[in-house]
Amino acid sequence: MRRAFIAAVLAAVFMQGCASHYLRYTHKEVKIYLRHRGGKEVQFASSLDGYRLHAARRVGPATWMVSLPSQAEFTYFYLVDGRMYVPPCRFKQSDDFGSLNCVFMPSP
Amino acid sequence: MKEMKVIRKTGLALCILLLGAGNLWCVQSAEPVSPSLDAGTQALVQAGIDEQDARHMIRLMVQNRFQEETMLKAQALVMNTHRAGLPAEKVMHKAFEGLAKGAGEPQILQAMERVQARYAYAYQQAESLTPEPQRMRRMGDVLAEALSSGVSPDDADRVMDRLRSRTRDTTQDQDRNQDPDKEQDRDRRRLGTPDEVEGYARECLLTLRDLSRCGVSSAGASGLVGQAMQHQYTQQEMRTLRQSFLERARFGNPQALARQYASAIQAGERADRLGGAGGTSGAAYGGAAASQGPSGQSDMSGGSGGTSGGGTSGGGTSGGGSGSGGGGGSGKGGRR
Repeated sequence: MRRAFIAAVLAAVFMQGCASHYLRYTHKEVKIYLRHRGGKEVQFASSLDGYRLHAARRVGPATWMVSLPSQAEFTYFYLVDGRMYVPPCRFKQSDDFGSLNCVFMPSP
Repeated sequence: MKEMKVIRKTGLALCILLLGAGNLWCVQSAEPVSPSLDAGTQALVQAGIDEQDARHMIRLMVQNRFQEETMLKAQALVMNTHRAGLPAEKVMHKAFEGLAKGAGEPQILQAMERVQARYAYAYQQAESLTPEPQRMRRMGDVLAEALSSGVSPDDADRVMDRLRSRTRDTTQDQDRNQDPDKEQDRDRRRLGTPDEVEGYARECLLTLRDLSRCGVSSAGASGLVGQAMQHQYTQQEMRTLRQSFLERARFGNPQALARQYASAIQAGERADRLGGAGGTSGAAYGGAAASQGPSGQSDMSGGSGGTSGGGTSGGGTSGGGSGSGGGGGSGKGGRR
């Protein structure tokens, strides 16, 4: 029991280090960063252009970034090495395929 | 010399001819669209659907080797949506999304149908608040987003019932002789102009949607909005409630915060006292400070996201439901 608990805690800590997702704002843009260890190619798709796939720019050893206008609301997800990936995000909604999309909401 | 020139010219002409034919073959082989699909696309365009979107949908489906029957069904769905006065582009974009996610043909058609049904319901509900098509569409769009964020139709119905009764109250208040003791109360309740009706409904529905997007359960979100409506919150107060909630939910458990807000409203608190200092500090909703420069903070880190197969449960997020292999919809979403 105790071992299982420790293993669960360690797994949680490990997963914490695996991926993170954060936003940074400039004047009229939002830069969305994804830190994902183990990914070789990251693509980004959003409702802004009908979910066309765009290659995310690698800005660090395991960090990718996309830059988007910050005035409009949009939903988004990633493809990491061709497989769908939805990062933990603050706002989300159903994607009608049994998963979720992240939602970017501009400031009021 | 002359022979050489003739040979050169002939060779050049042949090259041009071959290149042209090659290009034509390439274009045709990239989009080997059958006459019935082409006719379907033409019909969509003639009906007023965006031509680029209509062609893009079929192009993507052809690239993904969809059966012609599926593509014809997709076109028919888009056409029916458009004819019903619903936003056809939302249905087409759902197809694009599914294709990008590698979802299978049945999953994409089902998802398109779900979007159509959601908007049909939302527009019908919104129509009961206003006869004006543009206002109806604006309200319906927010309601559809709320449903997509996890609000159940039953909970949405409750909120819409309250909105309808509030607009009825307005008419009755205007007809009735006014009681001076209840002047203030009536002022709160009065939604006289179409602008006021739309503004108030919009704030209520946005609040419902945003609470749900935050991870508050359907019952919790509709309960809180219902409490505020029952306590005659004005349009401005509803906005203040939403903004202060979103601000405070950044640092706490949204579900618990919704309960806390509902209790406070039940106890008679007005919106400006709900969020402590009240209002927002101007920070953007997306999770990082809205200041200039690289001062953002983590939206969320760590977590559950595997690269596939997770799906969702409760308010948490995990990796996607559909892998690129075309399975689609393998996760079990608790949301509508």
